[in-house]
Amino acid sequence: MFDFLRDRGSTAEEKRLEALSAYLDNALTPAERTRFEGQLERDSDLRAELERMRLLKLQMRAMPRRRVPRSFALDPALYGRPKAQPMMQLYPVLRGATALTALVFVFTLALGLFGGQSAGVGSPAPAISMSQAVEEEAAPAEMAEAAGGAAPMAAPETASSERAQPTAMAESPQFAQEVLTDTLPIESAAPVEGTPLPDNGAAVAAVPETDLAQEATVTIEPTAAKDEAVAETAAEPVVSSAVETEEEAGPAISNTTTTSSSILGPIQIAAGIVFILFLILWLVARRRIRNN
Amino acid sequence: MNEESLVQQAQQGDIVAFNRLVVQYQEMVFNVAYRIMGDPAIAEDVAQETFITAYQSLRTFRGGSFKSWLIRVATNRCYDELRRHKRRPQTSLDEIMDENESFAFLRSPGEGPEAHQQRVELALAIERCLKALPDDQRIVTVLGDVEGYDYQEIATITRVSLGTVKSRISRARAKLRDCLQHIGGELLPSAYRLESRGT
Repeated sequence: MFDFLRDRGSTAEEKRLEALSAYLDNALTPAERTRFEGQLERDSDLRAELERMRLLKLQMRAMPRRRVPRSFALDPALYGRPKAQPMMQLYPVLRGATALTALVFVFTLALGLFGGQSAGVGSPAPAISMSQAVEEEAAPAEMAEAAGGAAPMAAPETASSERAQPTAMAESPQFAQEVLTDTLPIESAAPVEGTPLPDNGAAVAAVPETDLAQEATVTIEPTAAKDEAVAETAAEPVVSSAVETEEEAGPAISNTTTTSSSILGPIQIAAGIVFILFLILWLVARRRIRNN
Repeated sequence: MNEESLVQQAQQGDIVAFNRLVVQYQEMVFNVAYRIMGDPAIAEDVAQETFITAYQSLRTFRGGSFKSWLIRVATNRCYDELRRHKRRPQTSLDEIMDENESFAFLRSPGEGPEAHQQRVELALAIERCLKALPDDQRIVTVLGDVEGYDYQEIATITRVSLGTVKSRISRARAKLRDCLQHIGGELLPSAYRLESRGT
């Protein structure tokens, strides 16, 4: 590889001897050979040197070969089977494992990269989904207002009251029965409002159904006003439970993203470490095989 | 049975097949080790280690010339041994003469005692000059001039470039020439003397 450096360090005499040796061993290219033969014709010293080298080579080649002092045949009792060389047997496995772990490592890195991007985009999602949920909750109420009747309002309210069922049912078996019968006129919603609040147990006064409808309609507009209005109504636990449910869903989404990213980190580190280990083992095995 | 099938059987753990290869190549391996190491006892150890290593590493042999592969194993063992010893046996010519009673085998049927003595002296002089060479130059000279490998084969065996092989061989020959001219002036018979430059 660095022959040009060696050539630069050689003296003219060394180059001349090198060409002479190569000529003697028939290792010159045709062009070099022609050039060297031209030099031989002109230079009698070079011819004499060539003869000396030729004689030396003959003498070296004619050196007597020594007889072997003993047989070097291997003892079958000791070497019946080639000694297992785990490195050599493991070499293809190590090579494959290194490639595979490299792939996994790159994949997890890429996953982390794109996962990070998608998490950044998805972070506002809980807020959006919450407001959407409120809007969705409010939509039937708007429809009810447009229709001028309070009857449709009962549907979301009933749905909400179903969520409050476990506590409400404990104190109001009558309500449970009404829900089960699935015939839910507006009048039947009254007991829902009339049921005691599960949290503090304080009794809440029953609100007329028309008031309820109006108040529920108000809750649709600004969030703060909605909250105030909802706080005033007897349906407060119903609405707030719905909002709370949505709020619970929001963190659940962000928790999923956080969990996946927190799992991905250790996987990336583990894949990186395993990849480096396999790489080192593979290089060691390759070195040993080449040395043999 | 040809060499290729012997190698294949040996690769499958057939020690008998491998030993047939040993018998075929043990003289070559021992002589290469002897020329490189310059000591028959060390050469014996190196040769034995070479065959053990070769048998254990036979699975890594991917075809081609088994002889060249074996020489490569032997050369690697020699390098290891040279590194381990880091000293060359400092044996005088007389000591070599004394311990080499085996040179008697050099005697040819029609050769007289005087001719035989001259051949022995030349062989010993070359051995002595070979020992004086640096390790790298001695190895390429043994492989090239004694064993007859070409430059490309030597480059493969020693894992150096072709240019390095050329350079090492040429420098080694120049040193050998000077060494033999010096010894020849004192010891060698005229028939074996390398004439001085320019004469």
